[in-house]
Order: sequence, then C-alpha cells, then structure tokens
Amino acid sequence: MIYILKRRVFITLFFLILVQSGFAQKSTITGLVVDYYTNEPVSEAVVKSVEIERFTTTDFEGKFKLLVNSNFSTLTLETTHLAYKESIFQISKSQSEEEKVLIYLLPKTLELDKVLVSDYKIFSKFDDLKEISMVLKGKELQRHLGITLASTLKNEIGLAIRSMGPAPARPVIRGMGSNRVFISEDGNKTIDLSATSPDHAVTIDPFNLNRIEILRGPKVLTKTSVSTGGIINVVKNEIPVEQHGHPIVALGTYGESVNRGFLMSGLLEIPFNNFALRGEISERKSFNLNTPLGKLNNSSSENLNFSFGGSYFLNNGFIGVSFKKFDLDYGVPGGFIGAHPNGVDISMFREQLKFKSQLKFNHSIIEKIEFSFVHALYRHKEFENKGTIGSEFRIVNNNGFINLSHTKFGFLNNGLIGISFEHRDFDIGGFVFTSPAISINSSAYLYEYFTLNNFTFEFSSRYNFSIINPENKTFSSQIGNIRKRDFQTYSFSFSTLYELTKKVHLGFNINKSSRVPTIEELYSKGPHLAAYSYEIGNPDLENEHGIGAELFIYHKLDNLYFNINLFRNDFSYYIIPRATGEINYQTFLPIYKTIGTEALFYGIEKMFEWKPSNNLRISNSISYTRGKFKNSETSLPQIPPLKGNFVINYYNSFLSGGLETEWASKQNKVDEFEDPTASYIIFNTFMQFSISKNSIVHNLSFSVDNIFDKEYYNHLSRIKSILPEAGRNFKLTYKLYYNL
Amino acid sequence: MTLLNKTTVYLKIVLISLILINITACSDDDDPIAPEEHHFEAIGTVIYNATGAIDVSILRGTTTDTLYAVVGERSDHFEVKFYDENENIIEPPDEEHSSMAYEIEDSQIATGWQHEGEEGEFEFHIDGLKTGITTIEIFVKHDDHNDYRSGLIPLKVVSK
Repeated sequence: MIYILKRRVFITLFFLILVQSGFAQKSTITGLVVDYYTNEPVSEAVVKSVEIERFTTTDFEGKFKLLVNSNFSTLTLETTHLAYKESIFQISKSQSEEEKVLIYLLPKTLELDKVLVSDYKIFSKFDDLKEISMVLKGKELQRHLGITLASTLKNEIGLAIRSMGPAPARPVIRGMGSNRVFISEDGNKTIDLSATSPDHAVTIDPFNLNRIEILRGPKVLTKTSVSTGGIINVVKNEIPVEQHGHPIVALGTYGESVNRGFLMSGLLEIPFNNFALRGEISERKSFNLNTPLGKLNNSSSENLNFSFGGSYFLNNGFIGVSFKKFDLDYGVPGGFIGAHPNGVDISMFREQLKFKSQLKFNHSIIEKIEFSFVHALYRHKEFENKGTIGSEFRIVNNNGFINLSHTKFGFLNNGLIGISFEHRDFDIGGFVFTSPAISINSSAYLYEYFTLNNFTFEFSSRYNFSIINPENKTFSSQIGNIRKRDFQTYSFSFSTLYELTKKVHLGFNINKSSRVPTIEELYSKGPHLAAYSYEIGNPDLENEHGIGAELFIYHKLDNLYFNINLFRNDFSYYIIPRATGEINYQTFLPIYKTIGTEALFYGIEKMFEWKPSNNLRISNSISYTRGKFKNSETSLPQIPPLKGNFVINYYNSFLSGGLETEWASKQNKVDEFEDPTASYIIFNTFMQFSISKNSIVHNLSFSVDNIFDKEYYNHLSRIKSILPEAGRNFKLTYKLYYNL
Repeated sequence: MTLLNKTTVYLKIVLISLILINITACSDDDDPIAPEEHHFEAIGTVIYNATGAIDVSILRGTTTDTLYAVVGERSDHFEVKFYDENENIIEPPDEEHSSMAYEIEDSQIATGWQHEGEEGEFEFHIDGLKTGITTIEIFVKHDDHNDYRSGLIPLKVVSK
C-alpha cells in the first residue's frame, strides 16, 4: 500500500512541478499536402516538426494543423507517407500568429533522391543501407509477432533463438549469446537475468513495440564493449519523445492456437499543453504448447505488463519520466536427463523508474545532449514444488548515461561522445551457492561519422572499468579463490563504405571486442535448478577479448536490395560454460564448467529483396555461422546451423498476403556431450488487412505457421530431447489506432 | 525567458526528478530474499540393518548391493548414513531444516514406513507387499528442496 502511495506521490509531484514551470505561447502552422504531379490532396500523411518532436496527420482534404511554440525562428518540417518520398524543409517565422505552408510529395514509383533541405539527423549511410535488413517495424513487425522478443526476431538475418521452452527464449547473434547480445529498451539496458542462463526469460513483451532495431558495427560501442555481438534495441517511447497533435488510442489483441494463448492490450497517449502523457497495459496468458508429438507439459506462461510516463516539451527538447512493471510467471519443462520430472516454475518481475531528457541546440556544433537514468528492481524465484522456493535472485540496478552529439566539426560529419555508469547489487537466496556480489561499471565512449569523396567512415571506441565484489570472499575447493576482481577493457570499431556506384556499396569493418565476465561466470559453484545444470565458475577468468572483421556489399535500388556479409571473429579469450560430461553425485545434475579458451567464429549472411512489380515482393535470407575452438576442429557448443527463409508477398494499400518457408540444415558440428540436430523445412502463410476510416486505422494479421504440422527441432533448444518445436499454429493479431 | 532562466528551470526539473526517483525507488522490503543456508554435502549413502551391518553402500550413484524385504512383513529398521567427498562415512545432518525422504519406484511391490513422530528421521522400515524387484532412492531434504539424492538402489521383495 505504502509502495503504491509512493508511486502516486511521485507522479503527482512531478507534474505539479512541471505545471509550475509555465506554459509557452502557442502559434499554429496550417498547411496542405498535395501530390507533386496531380495536385491531388494527400491524406494520412504525417507532418512532423523535427525540432520539437511534435507531429500530426493530414485529413481527407490533405490539410493539417500543427501547434508549436511561438518563439521559434526556423522550424524543420518532415512529411512522410507510405506511397510518397519523404519531404524535409525549413520554414522561417513570419509576423503572423499562423504560418501557412504547401507541401508537395513525390510518388515513390519515381527514382529520385530524397528532398533533403536540412541535414539534422545522426543517421549515417550505413543506417540507411541497413534499414531493410536490420529493422523490424510496422506491418512487418505485426506479422512476425510471437510470444517473446526472440520468437518475433527468429527469421531475421544472422539471428537464432536459444530457448528452454516457449517463454524463456533469447536471441543469439552469429552464434553468440549471453550478454554478447545487448538488449535495450529505448536505448537503456534491459535489467533482467536472461543473459545468464537459458531458463531465464527476457522481460520484454513484443506486442506494443514501435520498432525493433538490430545494431551492429561501430555504433554498438556507444552501449556495450562487445563489438562482435550486437544490440537489439526495442523502441516503445515509454517516455514520449515527440508530441502528437491529438490524443491517440491504440487497442490490440492477439491469439494463437498452438498454446491457446491470448493477449489484450491498450495504449493511450495524450498531448496536453506542453506535456505528452502515455500509458500502456497488456496482459498475456498461454497454456501448454502443442507439438506434433504431443503437449509440452509445464510450458504455460502468464504476463502482466504496464507502464505510464510523461514528458514536458521545451522549445528545444523534452524532459520525461516513466514507471513500468513487468510481471511474468512461466514453466520450464522437465522430463529429460538431469531435469525435474515435472519441471520448474519461475516467477519474476521487474519494476523500473526512468528519467530521460534531450536538449537540442540549433545552429551550434553541439547538436544535442541526452541524459538518462534508470532505477530497476528485478526479482526472480524458482519453485521446485508449488509454493516452495528452490532458488531466488534479486537485482537492484542503477544505470544511466550522458551523450553529447555534435554536427559538422572539421572533417567530421557528426558523432557523439558519452559516459555511462552502472551499479548492480546482485543478491541470491535459497538453494544456490553463488556468492551475492556488487558490481560497478563506468565507461566512456566516442562515435564519429565522416565522408571523403566516395568513402564513408564510421569509427568508435569505448573504455570500460568494472569492479565485481563478492560478499563471500573465501577459498572454495571447487572453484578456487573467490575474491574481488576489477577489469579495464578497451574496444574499438572502424567501418568504411565505398560507393562503387550510386546503387552499389562495398565496405569492411574491423573491431576489437571485449567483455567483462559475469558474476555467474566468475563465482557459480552449485546446482541451478531450473537450468538443470551444476555450474562451476572460475574466479580467475580474464576479460573476454578478440578481433573481428567483416566484409559487406550492399546493392540498393528501388526494386532490388541485396547485401552479403562475410565475417570472422577471432577470440584469443572466449568464455563459455562447457559440459564436462561429469555428473554431480550430490544432485545428479550434469556439470558445466566455465572456461576461457581461444575460439574462432566465421560465417556468411545474405539477404535479397526484389520487387518485380509494384505489388509483389520476393525476399530471401541465408545465415551461416561456424564456431570452433581455435587450432582444433572441435566445435563450440550451441552454434546455430545454416538457416534461412524465403518469402513471396503480394501487397497493395489494403491487403498483404504471402507464403514463407523457414529452413535449417542439420547441425552435426557439435561439441562433446552435445547432440546433433536434424534439418527441417516448414511452410507458413500470412494475410494482413489495413482499413483506414475517418481517424481510425484497423490492422488485422492472420497467419498459419508450420502449416503441415512438421516435427522439427531447434538446435539451440535445451529441451529438444523431449519434444520438438511448436506444431501447426493459427495466429491472429488485431490492432486499432484511433486519432481522437 | 532568458537562457539563464531556462537553464535554471531545466536543471531544477532534472534535480527534482532525480530526487523523486531516489525517494520512490523500487523496494521489496516486504518480501526479503530467502537467506542462504548451510546445505548438507555428500556423495554416497550407507544403509545399515538392525544388527549394525552394512546392507547397502551406494557411491556416486553406483552400487552392486540390494536391499531386501519379505512379502507381508515389515522389516526391522534400517539406519542411513552418508559418504563425504573423501568417502568417509559421516552422520546425517542434525539441523532443524534437514530431513530424510525416500521414493520407492513401484509402490505395488513395497512401501516405506517410519514411526509416528519420527517422520523425516534417518531411519525407516520396508513393508513388503508382493514379490518383485523395484528401486528405492534416498533424499536429504532441506526444507522442501533436495540437498542430496542417493541414486537408485535395487529393492527386492521375496516370499517367506
């Protein structure tokens, strides 16, 4: 009760203070958006004021009205529409209270460059080229929605899923999992234990995401020191970063047959003077998963997820806060060697308070300053029998960053420098033998982007200092001297892109990656009930480090896009928990020992997307990773097989439908004590409808996954020895957007 | 507003927001984490019969011994001790939270029995129900989770 009161006091006080700080005078920009060739009005175009992050949409007559503060001198308007090319231009303030503008949009069928008047974004050519292959958004995101973030991303190039049942699933990039894949929400690290063990779930529900970005290359070092992995950033804007011209309501529901799962969701965003308030709630429930060979017992889950936040918009930025709670109960199936016969139940929650602010400086070298602070509490309980705690974890985490972005400075086009910090109090209880520990991390980083003739360059570096201080400093006969450790690491990444023609770009990247070992990797010494393993850490571990290199080709036309990446990551010290083949005779659990070893990863990724006509799209992706112990042909454990997909998609402004295949070759390049996995191919189909009437947009997606109920196995699933992946699955997603 | 005023207002908001986040920081004081406790460690089990002789010795889950019971009879008591990691025989844990449990695979062949009020103690009897072979496994429980399990021990019920 006291806790709820504290929340209310917090939110009330925050907004009272903001209200007291005053309201600015308003002026109005009205305008008309029309087709460049036909002069016909364009409805449903989005007109956005870039500086103040506020936008509105045009009505059926192509008209719009945008409220802005009256003391602007120039304002950049960005206009976008699905069927038209983006238009960006600046307007200067006149004497009038009301500015009137006329915007022409060029249809996308014409091959012309963007109308770009003002270069204002930290958005490099690398981002532009990767937009197709590395970003999931809009209808594409809605079509791929799954029960978890990992299942939503399963067909993205270079990605695989490590899982232990439907709920505990985490993405793996190029064979690298754990915290080599940095998962963030709106740019802030997601606080949970999903990186440490396969039975731990990611505390993100994918349903209400605006966009999922998979980041690789130099920009990765602005968030993590692991340059060989990648970042999966989900964009929700729980703290609104731009102000709509009107309130928005979004309602959604989701259902799937394979686990009789369903979800209900609601989202509301209200602009109010200089404020934008946002609230969101979703509830999901699923039952045991059906597979072609029967039901997977103890694989149900239940999730409640809500957040509310608000921003106050200044003339040159915003300042905002949010609170969120993510509550998830799920089962980890049992019944295989080393596992509990009936599985283990896990109950977890994350509460998070977040503060974020961004200030922009027009006509200055310093483009903007961004500041963010997050306080999070994560609790996690594992139950052997109903109501009895087997093991328990708690994290209290405070983290934040300050980023300073600059515009053109000397030969540099743009870039940023920043610092970040993290304090993590990790407590453990129950039948777990790992010592509680406090870790502190601070980092400084730099990212720069510049061009020279036909070359484009990106460069970044990161310095990281970490202290890990275990509570129980002692000597263990099992793992050695448990003691305080500190680590200093350096990472860098450099990419260049050569514009062979306007449509073809060649590039390469070289990087040095480093990673501080986790508390579990250092100090574990006992059974992990839900992971069904007996884990032995290594307090003498060094930081993980290696050199990565990548060659890539991008070919981008309006109707044809393809890219090929060749990569090689050479680790002189790679940390893995490796099955020893031994059994702990106290618990009869298989022993996994953490080791640092030389390792080599290499592979190829290919993606193409071809639009033979205005309504047809054919796409295909292939990913291959080979991971092995260096100077040996012995394979590393948990490396995904050669895999890919093929999609034929017919679409128009009203509907989109198609067929998709997912396939993987057999994986017989396995570590000792690891089982091989057979090849498979499955077929899916999908249909999507969009209806827009007045201010309401309805989006409906219907799909059937694994149409032929094929028995197939995910090589990275820890439970593949008991049952295969999901059987035939009918999925229905409905989303309604209402612009009030 | 002048730049100075704007900056002052901005900094005020930042400062107050951070203070409020600190004041209202997420807390779970009403749900403290389960304390870490001492857990019994062993790698094997010894079962003594009523004469004090060893009937069964199981080490690292492996044994060549068999426990016997007779159809229609309750056996004399069996006493349970353990092997530590140096394979020395040690007494069972004498802690409030520790207890013994057993699991007989086929309860049609035999069941276990303990004296009333002595449930969870490290002594037990076997009731033979019908002739046949099954297995028994001994557990050391710490509250409701297993600190130790012996592995499967053959249990044979014979006729008189």
